[in-house]
Amino acid sequence: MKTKEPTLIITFANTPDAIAMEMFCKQNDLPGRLSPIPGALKAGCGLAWKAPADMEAAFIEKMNANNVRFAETHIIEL
Amino acid sequence: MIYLDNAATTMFKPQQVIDAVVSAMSSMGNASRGAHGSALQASRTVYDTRCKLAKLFGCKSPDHVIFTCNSTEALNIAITGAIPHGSHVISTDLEHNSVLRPLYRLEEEQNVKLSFVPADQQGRIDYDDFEKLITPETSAIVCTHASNLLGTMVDLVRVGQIAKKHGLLLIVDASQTAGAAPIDMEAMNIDILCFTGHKGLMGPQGTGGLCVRDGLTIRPFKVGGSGIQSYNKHQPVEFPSCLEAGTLNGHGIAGLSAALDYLNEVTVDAIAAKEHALMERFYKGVSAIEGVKVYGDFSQPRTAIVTLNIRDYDSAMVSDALSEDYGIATRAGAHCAPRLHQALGTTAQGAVRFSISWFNTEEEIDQAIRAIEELAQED
Repeated sequence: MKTKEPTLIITFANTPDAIAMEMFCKQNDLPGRLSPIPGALKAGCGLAWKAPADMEAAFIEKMNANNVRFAETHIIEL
Repeated sequence: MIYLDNAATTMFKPQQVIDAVVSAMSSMGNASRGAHGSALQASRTVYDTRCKLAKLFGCKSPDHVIFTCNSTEALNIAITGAIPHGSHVISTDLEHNSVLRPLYRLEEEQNVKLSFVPADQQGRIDYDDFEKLITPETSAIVCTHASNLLGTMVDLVRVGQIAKKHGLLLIVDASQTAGAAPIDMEAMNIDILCFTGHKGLMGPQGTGGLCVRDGLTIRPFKVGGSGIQSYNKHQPVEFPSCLEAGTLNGHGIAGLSAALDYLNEVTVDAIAAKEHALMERFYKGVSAIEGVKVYGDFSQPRTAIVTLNIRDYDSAMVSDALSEDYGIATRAGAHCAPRLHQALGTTAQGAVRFSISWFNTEEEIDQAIRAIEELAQED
């Protein structure tokens, strides 16, 4: 396994919200990708958005400003 | 073959629909079931199709577009899950059995009272009858956007205003109009719009769904795998998972998505205009033939259906002759529309329905007119 590093994980209530997040990020040139939700976290949807840890505040601001639905954000070692 | 049974299903599909299904069948994983590439691609295709349908029908939230295998399943979900036990429901004589049978079941099993706006012998309804039938117990109006038997369209703006004025749920069966006529859930005050993918939308059979107004709760018709909240003993309450237990028809939805792209290119207005012009051509041709009786009021808004009988001939035999001797596909019999056949007085004879699509031509219509002319001359 590769070396662990802090990673931003954004969780969702359902799959449409996760896919809508992916579309939003593509349209707005935001980094990251959809991945399975890490086992340490719990959310309705098994998909999570994985992105650089230092962008948590920026993501939250942009998601809230554009009514992008998400459940929680976490910084975890992955 | 001249295919004039498009109210049953549009047999000819845009090539891009066929290509999309074939492609999906060799590349698509299971939507909402995993995070690997093919599963994600399936989830993207499904979500993208929800977005296209939401835009087409004026549904505010793509996640409130629910996929089913057809209109009948969508109507069962809506009628069974949204109408309170013991309440009163208003429907019409224009309905298909996909509306009638779920309602009759509620009547028998859940003490729901039913009233029907009557149709006259031309298949017309009086909109004042909706308000006359309202009681303090009335909870919903369930009605079609267009009769599958005659093509008679219901003015949903008017019905929606009545529903809104009296605080009633409006559930609409758009089986005959989705893709063939403009629909706007907001302008029409529609709470639940039920549609099929394989008729006017020109997608594959096995696709359909319902669009639900934000804030409505519908009791799930079926429960099971959702891909989310696996340790929850109950079906998730979030849309769309609350109403989509089990694997979706991803391959069909991929085809439906391509069909929606095609519709977007040619536009629903252009389709409606062409189909209406062909319908008028056929109507004028056959209504001038001695011994032919055409049903319905052609001065009212309608879909591209012409339903007729020749003298007292058995409609099934006429349809069979059209198929065997002329290669023309039509639909005879009762068309799953018992109340309207009763109103027309055609329960014994049935009727022959010609239903036109975007892919029909004037030449085909003229051949069909000549076939009716010849059959009408036979004893």
